[in-house]
Amino acid sequence: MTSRRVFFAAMVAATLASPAWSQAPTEELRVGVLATLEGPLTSLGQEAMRGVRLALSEANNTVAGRRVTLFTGPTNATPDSAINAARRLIEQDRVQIIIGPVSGTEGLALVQFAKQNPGVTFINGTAAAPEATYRDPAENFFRFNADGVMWQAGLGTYAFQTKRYRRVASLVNDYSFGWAQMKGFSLEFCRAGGAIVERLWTPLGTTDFSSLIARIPRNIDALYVMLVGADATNFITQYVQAGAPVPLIAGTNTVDQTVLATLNRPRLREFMMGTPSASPVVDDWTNERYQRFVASYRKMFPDGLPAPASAGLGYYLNTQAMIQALGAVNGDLSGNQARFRQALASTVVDGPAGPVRLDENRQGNATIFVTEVRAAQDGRLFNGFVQAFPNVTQSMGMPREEFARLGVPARDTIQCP
Amino acid sequence: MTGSLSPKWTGTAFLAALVLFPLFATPFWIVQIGAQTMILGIIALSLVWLAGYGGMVSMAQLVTAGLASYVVAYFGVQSDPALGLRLPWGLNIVLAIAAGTAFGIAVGMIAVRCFGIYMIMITLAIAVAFFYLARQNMGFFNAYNGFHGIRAPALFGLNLRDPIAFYYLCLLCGVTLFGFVVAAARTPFGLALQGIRDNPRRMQSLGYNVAVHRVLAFGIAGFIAAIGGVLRVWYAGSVSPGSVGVGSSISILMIAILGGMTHPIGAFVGALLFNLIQNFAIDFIDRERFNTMIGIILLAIILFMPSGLVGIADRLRQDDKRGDRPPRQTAPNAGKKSPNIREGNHP
Amino acid sequence: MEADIRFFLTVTLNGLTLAALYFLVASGFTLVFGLMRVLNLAHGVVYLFGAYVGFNVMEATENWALAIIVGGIAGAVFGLLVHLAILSWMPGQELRQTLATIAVSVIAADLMIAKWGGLSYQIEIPDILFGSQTLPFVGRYPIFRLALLGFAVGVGFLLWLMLNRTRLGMMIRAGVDDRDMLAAMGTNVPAVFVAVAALGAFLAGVAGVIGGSALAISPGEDTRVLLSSLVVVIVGGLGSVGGAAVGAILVGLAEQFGLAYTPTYGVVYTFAIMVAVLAMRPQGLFGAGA
Repeated sequence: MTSRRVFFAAMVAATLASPAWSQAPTEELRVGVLATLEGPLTSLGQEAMRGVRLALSEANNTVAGRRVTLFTGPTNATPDSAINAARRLIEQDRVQIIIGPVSGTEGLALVQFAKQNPGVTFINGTAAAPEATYRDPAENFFRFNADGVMWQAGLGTYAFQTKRYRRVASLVNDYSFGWAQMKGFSLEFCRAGGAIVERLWTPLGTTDFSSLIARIPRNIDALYVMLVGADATNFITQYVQAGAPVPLIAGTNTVDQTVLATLNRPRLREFMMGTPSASPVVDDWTNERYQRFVASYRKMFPDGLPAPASAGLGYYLNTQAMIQALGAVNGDLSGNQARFRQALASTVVDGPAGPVRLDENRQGNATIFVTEVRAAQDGRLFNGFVQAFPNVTQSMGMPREEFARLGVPARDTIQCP
Repeated sequence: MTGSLSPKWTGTAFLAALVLFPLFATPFWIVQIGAQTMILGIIALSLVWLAGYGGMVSMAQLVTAGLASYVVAYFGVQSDPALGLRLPWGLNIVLAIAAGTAFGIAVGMIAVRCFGIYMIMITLAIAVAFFYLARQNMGFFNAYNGFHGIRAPALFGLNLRDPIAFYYLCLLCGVTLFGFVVAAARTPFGLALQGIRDNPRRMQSLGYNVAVHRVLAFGIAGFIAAIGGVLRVWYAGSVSPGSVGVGSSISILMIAILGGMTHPIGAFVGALLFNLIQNFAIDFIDRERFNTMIGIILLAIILFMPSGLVGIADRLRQDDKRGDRPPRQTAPNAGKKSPNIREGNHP
Repeated sequence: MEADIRFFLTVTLNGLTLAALYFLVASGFTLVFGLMRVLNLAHGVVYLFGAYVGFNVMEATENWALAIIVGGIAGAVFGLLVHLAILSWMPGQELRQTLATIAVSVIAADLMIAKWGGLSYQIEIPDILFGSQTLPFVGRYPIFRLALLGFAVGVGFLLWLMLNRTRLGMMIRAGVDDRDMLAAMGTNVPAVFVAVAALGAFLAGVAGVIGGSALAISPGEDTRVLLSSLVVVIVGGLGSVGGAAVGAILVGLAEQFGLAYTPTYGVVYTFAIMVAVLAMRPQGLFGAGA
């Protein structure tokens, strides 16, 4: 009983003391960050927060003489939780700008939410669903990171021309991000003249792949695999145990550090060596600006990942855009943030992998890397630099109308044959 | 509320507070706390109705509400131009409530022969199957993406998207359904249902059709949950597999346990507490450990106050033994198959 | 045609080996339920806890057998704690106990994320179990999956021995049939309960280490394992070890055939089977009257 009373008392006290009831000082900038801090994508959310904190610390947490106060809006990767957190950030914490979210479906919901909250500016985090800035975009939603289709730029061409793969099959997680990656890969691979002879889709959270492995056709040159997290670890292990008949081409998340770090057995590492992939981040690019980014990440987060992941880069880039645009208008958020938004739309962000500018739907271009899995001195696997593709646009270099005719990513987008 | 003056006055004062609340509160308190509490409370109310009066703990109430949300989205205005039917507004709401009621009856027909924890299990299986179906099916559920950009209608110059109007809509639904459940419990049907809860065999031998009563109770619960589902999709603006996951289904059960299943008001008390914890725990502890906190509170309530917060109120005020409150079961252990949630009230 | 037959046989074998894993997890679950009528929904987190501990032991000692034993003991300690600190305070109140175990799982799952993070891990298996073996009709087949089958049969046999040939087993069987009579005969029923709670959790911990060697360990795995063991024991009949074996085979096959032939909806089948069985036969295929 006593503890319950204390709890309620604390609740009431917190309510009265919460910022909604006191006038915010005008000097500080109130910025909300949406990140997945519970549920299956927790590690992505933690990496996202590192990206924000890195960008802010480079600006000494100050923009145009005003201190930036961060408010965290934790989500569990569902759209409902993202909307709840965003509502709290706006109405309770009185933030003026929201950075985030992490996952694509949250992003789709947030774009619609942005339309209902025209007074707040939304800058994406790392949500990569193409539709968010493609179909029916919101005036006050900006995305400086690339989408899931763009992340695969260069991979299909590389697989066809350099690796000389002609016939492939695919095994992809059956959800929006998987469809987007598959679209990005097949767009180039089919155009180059390759054939995707069998498409296997598997629900997110599949653990036992043995019967899917048995369905992989024999007469192919390689298997395109886009599985995330534990699905990828499970598949790679079971595939190697089953004899691994053909090499892999990997989607972005299939060979990121969260997966590579789980492959302890030498046989698995040997098999993964040389696996090509494409990604907005790369572990060993010698470019000076990029190295500076990696070095300051490692310095600030000794217990972070060995190198920044795409979530870290995405949030870093979007936070950086906010800082630059706010600097350009001297922190002026008046007039429904009109000047600030104008500045955002025309900002050229000095991104770690190259300058980023927005298109008419407020979607940024990006530098995408084709990589291959390599081993460091200590045996640890990483994604080595093969080639960089600067200025990848949302329509993958095609005219917008022609690209639009391909349709939004779905299970059957772009077939060959 | 009946009986002595005191509960009547408490009820009136409480209602007045709820009506006047928006005059003093910020939009955050009106919508995120006020409206959301009502919505969660309505969905939990459907569970309290089933469990408290029917002795049937159903884990499928959230997905019933979820189905109604999907129907509102599919047959109404949302942001995906490639999917759904844009029926004239109003029609999708009727369809949603009909679908929820029908789904409730279907769940009842499947589960009618199960008692106690078997009832929990079969309804949990239905909930999980529904979640996977929603995540995998493109044609109706739009798979992983779900639907976004769903908004409450504006009618007769009254914009239901406005925080205050939306709050009153939720309040009206909540109070009406609360009254509906209290009244339904006193009808011959409601009394028979409570008889079946306490002793199905005796009721059967008295000539009552146990199965029909139980299935109908599920239908009524489906109706209540569906209204909650319609409000929920207007509140969130989107519905996706994440809205109908196992975690959310368990949350509804938690709400009912927190508040207590001995009286319909427990659903709303539980929803308020759950919602407050969910929104303000972040101010006390690291949000990452939110689940630990809610788990500990839940465990404490199960251990120390088995009939929830409502049970506390009961214990403080022992003068009411009227018909709007299902009588306490007196036997501490009514046999292995006891379907009653309140078995063995006191440790 | 020949390829089709080979594919069919491979999927069948996959289903059986997956069933082996499910049986390992579900056997402890059903044992506990059979005696105590407690639906221990914390079984999934015990599995995950055993797996994480096994992973750490493996990292430190590189001894797989040790990892299995320590993982099992960790599970048993956890299970005992839950039983003594919570469940034994509300004897005979099955619903309340079930709800309490839900609360325990919520807390434990969250604390495990705090300790082991959101990343996934995999327990390394000994070299002789890694790789594949050529089988007649099927072709190359992973050795570890065959070993899983052996494990499950071994555990099943040991359980059968224990239940049918030991004093504890006799008491358990008597308790399953009639608890009150067992107490009246002068048996210390609470002590038998404690032993069975520990045994059930030990099996969950062992299953966690073996499962974590076959499949990756990650947050959320507790719920997945719990749901599949629920389906397994409910389809088979709560409380019956033999029923758990049959349920495991049914669910394993359904899952693999679903994934192989209709990957989109395969995941729904298992739950559809459970709904169908419960609707027709609420006590499960092998359950004594509910």
